[in-house]
Amino acid sequence: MPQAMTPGDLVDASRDEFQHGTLNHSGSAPGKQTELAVRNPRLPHITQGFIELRLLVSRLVQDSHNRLQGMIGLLAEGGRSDGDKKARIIEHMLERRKQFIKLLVLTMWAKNAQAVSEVIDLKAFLDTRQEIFHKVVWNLYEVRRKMSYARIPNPDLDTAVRVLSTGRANTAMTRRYVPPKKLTSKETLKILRDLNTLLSLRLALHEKLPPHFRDYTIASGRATFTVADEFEADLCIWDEDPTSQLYLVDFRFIFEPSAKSLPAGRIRDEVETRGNIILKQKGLEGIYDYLHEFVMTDKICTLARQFHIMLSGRWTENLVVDMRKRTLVVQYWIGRVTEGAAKSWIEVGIKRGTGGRPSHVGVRWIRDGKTVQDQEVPLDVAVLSAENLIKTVIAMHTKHILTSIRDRLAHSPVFPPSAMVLTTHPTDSFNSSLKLQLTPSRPIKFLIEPITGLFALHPPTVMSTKVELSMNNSPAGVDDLIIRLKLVLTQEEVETRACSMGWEVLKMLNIRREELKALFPTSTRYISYLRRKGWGKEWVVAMVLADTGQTWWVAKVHEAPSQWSMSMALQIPVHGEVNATYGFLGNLEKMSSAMITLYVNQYALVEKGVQHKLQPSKVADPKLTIPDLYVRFSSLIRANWGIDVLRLTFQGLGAEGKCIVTVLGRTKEPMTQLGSTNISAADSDVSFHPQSGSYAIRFNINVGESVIEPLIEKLHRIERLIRFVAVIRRFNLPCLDVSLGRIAFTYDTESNSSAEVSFSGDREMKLHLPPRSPHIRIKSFLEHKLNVSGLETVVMALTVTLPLLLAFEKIEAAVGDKSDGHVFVLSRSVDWFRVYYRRLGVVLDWQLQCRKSVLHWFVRDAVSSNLEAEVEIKGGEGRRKADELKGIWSGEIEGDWEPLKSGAAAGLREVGALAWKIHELIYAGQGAN
Amino acid sequence: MAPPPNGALKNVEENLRVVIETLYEISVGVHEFQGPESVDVIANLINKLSTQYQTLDSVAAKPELDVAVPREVIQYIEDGRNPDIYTREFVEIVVKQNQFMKGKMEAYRDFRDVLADQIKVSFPELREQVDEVIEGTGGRRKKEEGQNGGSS
Repeated sequence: MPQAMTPGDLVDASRDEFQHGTLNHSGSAPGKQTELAVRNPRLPHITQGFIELRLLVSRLVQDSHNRLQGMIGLLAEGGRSDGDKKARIIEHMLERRKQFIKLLVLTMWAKNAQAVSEVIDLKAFLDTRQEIFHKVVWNLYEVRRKMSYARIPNPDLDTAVRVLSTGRANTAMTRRYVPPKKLTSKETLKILRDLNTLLSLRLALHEKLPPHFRDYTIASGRATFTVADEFEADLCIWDEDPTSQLYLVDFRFIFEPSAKSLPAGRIRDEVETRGNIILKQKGLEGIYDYLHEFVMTDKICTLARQFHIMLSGRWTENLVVDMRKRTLVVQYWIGRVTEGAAKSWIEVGIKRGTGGRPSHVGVRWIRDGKTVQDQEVPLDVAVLSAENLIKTVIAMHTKHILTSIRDRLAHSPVFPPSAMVLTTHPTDSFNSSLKLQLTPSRPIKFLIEPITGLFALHPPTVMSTKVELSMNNSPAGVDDLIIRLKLVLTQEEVETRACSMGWEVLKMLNIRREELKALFPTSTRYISYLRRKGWGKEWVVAMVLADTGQTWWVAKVHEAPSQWSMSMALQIPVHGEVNATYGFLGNLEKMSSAMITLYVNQYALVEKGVQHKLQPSKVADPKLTIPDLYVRFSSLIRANWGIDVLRLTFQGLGAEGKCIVTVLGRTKEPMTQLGSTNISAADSDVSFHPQSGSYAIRFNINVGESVIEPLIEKLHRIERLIRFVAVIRRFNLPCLDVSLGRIAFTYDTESNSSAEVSFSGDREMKLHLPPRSPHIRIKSFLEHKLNVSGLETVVMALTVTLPLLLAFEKIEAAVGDKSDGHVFVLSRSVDWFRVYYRRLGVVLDWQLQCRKSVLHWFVRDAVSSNLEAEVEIKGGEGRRKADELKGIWSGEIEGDWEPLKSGAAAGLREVGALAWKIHELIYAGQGAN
Repeated sequence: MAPPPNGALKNVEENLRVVIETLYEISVGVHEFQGPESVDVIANLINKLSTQYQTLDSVAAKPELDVAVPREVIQYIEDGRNPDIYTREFVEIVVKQNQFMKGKMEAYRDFRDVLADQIKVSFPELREQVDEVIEGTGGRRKKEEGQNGGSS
């Protein structure tokens, strides 16, 4: 064993430490040292990490005892096989034995424990000593270091003597060389020219020029390399040897903004030193790479600086500028990013050169969190401008947003492409806008404020301000908000205009959603109800604004107990975007009135079971496509005189919003006999075209009224008229006037006798005769006959009786006033007259009878044929037989008549002469008297 | 060098041996279990073990057993290694360190003397004080008698 020191030795060795504190007490007594030695302490005893053996033994015994008991308990429980029990016991015993053997080994070792413990103490002591020794080394070093300051340097006697003797220090002397002679201008020029030549040769023949470093000029003894928009570098040589290195003489930035030249100082030195090292090691290729990288870095830094300046201006709080290594990251539109929305930023950094182009400062654009691949952000590397850059990016972003909004809106029928005008400016998004024609009179500009990225609407209104706010709160819903705004404004505009046009806007008309769903498009958002003044309560026009577009409807509503209910709605054919001009509203009224009218009439026809159909109108008005209603004539009235089609046409609106409806029809036969006399003058509602037999009936009704009933009535009248015309035609009489309620005709041109029949609807027909008509005396009989047997009989009666009645008139005129009371013509019926010469007592009966199938007037003496009866009549006492007429009766007096013993007969035309002859004979007698 | 054998320690050791012996006997007994007649033998052995546990416990509890062992040694045994190896290795380390320290001290002593000489040359006026320091740190005055004892 190596010689070990006893603890005592070590204590002795430690003495110097203890005495260290007393070092200053020089001359202390030796006795004191002895005292110190006595007071040497024992080694510090280490107990940490020691465990008492007693504790180990007692713990193990305790544990083993417990386990033994536990095991015995388990064995006593039973239910285990003997083998199992044995195995358990053996296992336990062997395991315990192992533990006790360990403890035994430890116990045996513990005999040395005391000694080992002391060695441990010793080791701990030595460790602390060793540390102290280390410290001493450091302390000594520290003393040595501090000592150097205590030294005084030797005086520079040489300089001191010089200064003292000459009065100033001659520094030039210290260079210790002879300055060369100054070069003359000529020499300088020659050297430079030589240099130029050498450089040309060197660069042309010996150097391999990098691809992007080939643009150089040689002048003034240096080669100036130019890299466009980046830098110029002056290189020169110091040696004719083509393998010697080139040197960097000067370096200039050639982009804006930049320092004109590198200022003298650290950076310039650094560039020059490193540049020369690189030129030596890597040649031109290396210097290009180095300077190129240096310039690109400087450009990025310049941009970063500009951005930081912008931050203190109007861009403040709207940009976040950050440099990450050599990449400049600028986030814009900070305020626009709502929670969860993606950020937008640009990264200005070095882009790898591709396709023969060198690496360059480029921009990566991350728009709404996604890198934009298909668009290159232009960056002017010649004139750097952070503001231009960010404005360009913002303009591009604006364009993207506006374009995508436009494209999305274009999908909605609410915005036709013509209503949107997109203006984009490549660099200044103040001039970019999406002009939206919200309503025909209200264009609005949708803008994006460049600095903040907020949406804006121009011109501002109360409503647009609200919408703006909503848009900025949820940029995703912009399209919807625009559509909504458009619809609301459209509604407002239409309602305002309609109001001024005399429409009522029914704000209070609320109808259950379910009902509306069934009638109107599902995407309906707003509905305006309008009603024209003068319309029935049940009719409204609805403007429906839906995502699918704007539609107009005619709707029928009725008041239900709690609210209104809509029973049907018909779409008004309006095409495209509607400008609610006054013209449009006028057309709308026309159209809706027409639709209501047609609907009502159709409905009436359906109720009556009349065949009909709607067909497009032949008269096409491009703005109004109102169909015509075709009605089957024979189905409407049971008659066959007309062509089987009636066309009901809505003609337009009359005064006070009344509808003008015409019905066109044609008779089967033309009505040429009517002549072209002003056939419709008397009745403006109906007009005829005699040549074609067509007729037109015109109605002027309120919106919502049916014309079917009045039409039927009119048709009945036409029917009657047609029948009458036919009669008149058969008799070949000239018509004087024909209208739907009246027919006037001449039945004898010679005497200019005319008559007029008036009829209207179901009332009795009336016969009108001029005041001096010969037929006045039988008017009532004729009128009766007219209503009973029709016009034909009447016309016949008129013609048949005319000559006789004219004769009577002549007789009465001849008798004159003096005959007053002397001649009476009594009408018994249209074919039986009695002429009574009261004073003369003659009574004659004229009767129309058929003789040999021909009508003849028969005249006979009423008294002679039936004397008693005549005489017995009150007032008939004076009646006598007319003997004056015997000549006629007997045929002695010849004429255009036939004697019949007690009477005579005459043809219809000849009867006038007979009557006059008889009158003459009777009066002749009297005159003779 | 070893401390006088501790009676109490011996006692514990013996009792441990007895316990180990008994544990072995029981396992052998159980292994060669013959039938009911062997039950008593085993029972007796277990009773014996129980008694031996008690004895061991009481022996260990005696105050004379004032021995502590380092944790490292217990770990050695737990790992199945010989604790004497620990002892030997530890002693060897301390010996080496002792020699190292001895060398250091001697080197410093030499350095002290050289430094003292140099200081005395550079600063003769400090001679007295230098000598005192040397003396105080166990050196002896060179010029004079030098009878003052150094170490031990």
